[in-house]
Amino acid sequence: MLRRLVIFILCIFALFAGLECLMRAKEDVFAVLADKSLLREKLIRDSSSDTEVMILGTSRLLDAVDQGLFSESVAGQTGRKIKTFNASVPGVNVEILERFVAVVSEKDEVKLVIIEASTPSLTQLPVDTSGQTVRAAEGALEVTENRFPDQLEEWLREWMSDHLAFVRKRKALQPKTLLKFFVVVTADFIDPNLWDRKGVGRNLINFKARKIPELAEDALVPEIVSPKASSFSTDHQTNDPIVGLMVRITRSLQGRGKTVVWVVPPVGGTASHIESNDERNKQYETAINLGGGQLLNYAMPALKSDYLRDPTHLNIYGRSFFSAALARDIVKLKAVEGGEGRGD
Amino acid sequence: MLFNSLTFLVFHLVLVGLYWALRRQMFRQVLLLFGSVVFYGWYYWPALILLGISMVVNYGFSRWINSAGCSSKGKVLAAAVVANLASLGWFKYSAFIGENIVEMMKALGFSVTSPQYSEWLPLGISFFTFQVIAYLVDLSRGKVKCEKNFLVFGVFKCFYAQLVAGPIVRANELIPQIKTQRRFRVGDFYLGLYFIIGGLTLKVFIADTLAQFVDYGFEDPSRIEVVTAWLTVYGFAVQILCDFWGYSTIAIGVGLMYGIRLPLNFDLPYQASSLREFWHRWHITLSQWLRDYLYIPLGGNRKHRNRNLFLTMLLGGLWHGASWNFIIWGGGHGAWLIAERMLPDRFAKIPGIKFLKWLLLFNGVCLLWVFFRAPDFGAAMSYFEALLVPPFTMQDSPPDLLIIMLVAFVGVSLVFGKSFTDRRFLQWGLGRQILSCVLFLFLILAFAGSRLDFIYFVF
Repeated sequence: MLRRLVIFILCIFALFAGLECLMRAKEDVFAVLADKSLLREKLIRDSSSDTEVMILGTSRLLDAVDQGLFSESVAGQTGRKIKTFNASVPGVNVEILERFVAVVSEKDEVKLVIIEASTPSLTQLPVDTSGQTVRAAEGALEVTENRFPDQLEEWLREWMSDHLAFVRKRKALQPKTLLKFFVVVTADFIDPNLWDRKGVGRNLINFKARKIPELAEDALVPEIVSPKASSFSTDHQTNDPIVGLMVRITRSLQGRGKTVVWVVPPVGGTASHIESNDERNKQYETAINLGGGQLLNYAMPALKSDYLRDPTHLNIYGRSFFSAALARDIVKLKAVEGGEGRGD
Repeated sequence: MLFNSLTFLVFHLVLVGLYWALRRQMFRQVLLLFGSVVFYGWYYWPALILLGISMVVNYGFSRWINSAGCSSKGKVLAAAVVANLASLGWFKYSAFIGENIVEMMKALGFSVTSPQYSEWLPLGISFFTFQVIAYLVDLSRGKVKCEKNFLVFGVFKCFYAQLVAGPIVRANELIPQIKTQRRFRVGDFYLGLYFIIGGLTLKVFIADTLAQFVDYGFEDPSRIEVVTAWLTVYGFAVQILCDFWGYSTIAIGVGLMYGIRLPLNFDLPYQASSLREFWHRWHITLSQWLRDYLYIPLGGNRKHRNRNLFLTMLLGGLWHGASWNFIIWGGGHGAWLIAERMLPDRFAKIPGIKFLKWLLLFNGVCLLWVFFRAPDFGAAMSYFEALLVPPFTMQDSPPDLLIIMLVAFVGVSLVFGKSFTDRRFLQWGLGRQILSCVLFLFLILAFAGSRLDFIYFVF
């Protein structure tokens, strides 16, 4: 039995040592598999060379736009097939958004970039993970930061993370990574967004929801913000971080010949007042006047709960409904070739 | 110290190494007592004062019971039980009882202000109180010998493997193992290692992953739809099992690495097809404690059987926490057990009846879990509304990961479940042993996020 125990321990150590070597040798690949924003960035970079429309945003726009329906809907109106990639990813913050924009701007085939304008996408800063605390049993203990037990635990975690690649990139070991790996490998010829977090099975099962819905004339009509010629100034600077970010992004994309359309996704209940109020609308207006592009604001009036999974995310019905509405409005703006008017 | 922390792993491995390096059992006892004190005081050292007082007082009571004559033994035992229950009552139930009295007085028109209660609930107080009560009762009944060695008594009282969340160990099971010279048994050590890895998998991979969906659903049931609401309840049923089963499995594994065998606490309870069987498989050491020290003294099967059963389950519910929801939960189980006893089993020969009974039992147990999980009665009712009251909408599918985790639980239970309850791991081939542990370690590593406490810590 002792021999068996020794072999068992040695085998476990050997397997993890092997894993460590593999992960160190291919750290960039595992980094992509372990981090959804890095994975998305790679998918944007690798997306097929005929992708004409790129959608960037958070989980709100990820849930709101079915790229297939959007493309079909645009094709139905313009008679020209286009390919769209919804590169939105949950948890996008300002830093990730700018990183994505930089990658998209390098892709010559992309003609139109639709970007989410919302509180999380424009104001969320990267999370500082250094201040993790241990949650104590509710009501049993009060644990504060900077106590020796917490510091020791933190130090152990950091030590392992610093010295062991398989700990550092441990998220890459999750079973769903196998799917991610498949997505990365096949990104050139299989639409990566088919494997999004809403689930492959669900996309295939919900035939009804995936049909292009018939939109009433007044259904989901956005408020459109376009630049006013008189106040347009390319030299103007702003101290407002939201305006500054929007202007910076729009100019960098337009500088590479792309059309930019900002979209405020539809939301329900009180969230609509957060996403579309006087102050925020003023910021949007200023950003569009200064940087160019167009903005479609769907946040007001609040969407019916029938179309929502929660106040800020659409369900599958809302998704197909909004995908068709967005396609209709993008064609109206002539933001895609064959539409009614050019967005820029 | 939490079992699912790196600090604990380092602490335990160092302690185990030192334990087996020491030759004399007395030194090992000193080491175990020292380790247990460090373990308990790790995050909140003032808790050691309570543990110390409890240890000294109960040691005194045990000696007193031992030396008392037949006529006074009962009185000393009563005093000891009252003292222990008073301490438990003060820390755990004073706020609940006081607030209910204040509400009642207000309803009667008296003007009363709420007094101050203890806001601190010492970790594992319900477990170590029940364990020592069992010892004192057994001592007075002459079922165990009085442990005169304070060091051995101390280790029995606060052995860190089972101090904060059980299993509740009887003195005649644990004290002889602490006292006698332990020999290093490779099989026990090996099995202990497997139990620790397996227990961590249940906790980190299944329970903690499901926790996010359960928390979301119970926070505001109005935002989830009927299918998701049912899956969330199933999710909680699995979460609480894996959380506590995981803890108990780690505890048994920790004990085994010291050559100490702790009793089994879970035996695949959701495979039971009657509630009676369920309670023989769920939190086994608590069920046995309630049977031996509450149900039987109340009269057991001899007289007022149903009343005794109902009261036992009601108090068992209250043991879990000071809230009406726990009382309803316990009462619900009690009523069901009575109904099960009263209904004759006339349908046993009908094909498929076993499956139907299992289905009914599992869903019934899950529905009672709603009271257990919801923060108050109103929240439980809101949840039942989402579960049972039409109109049902089905506009969005349940989260994929919730379904995947439920399926994963079924898979883990079927393939590995039994191996966490007996010694069959040692019979497996080396390849299967290695593959199982590698799979578990991968899952632990991949799913270890923010460490969540074990649910039973607060009981």
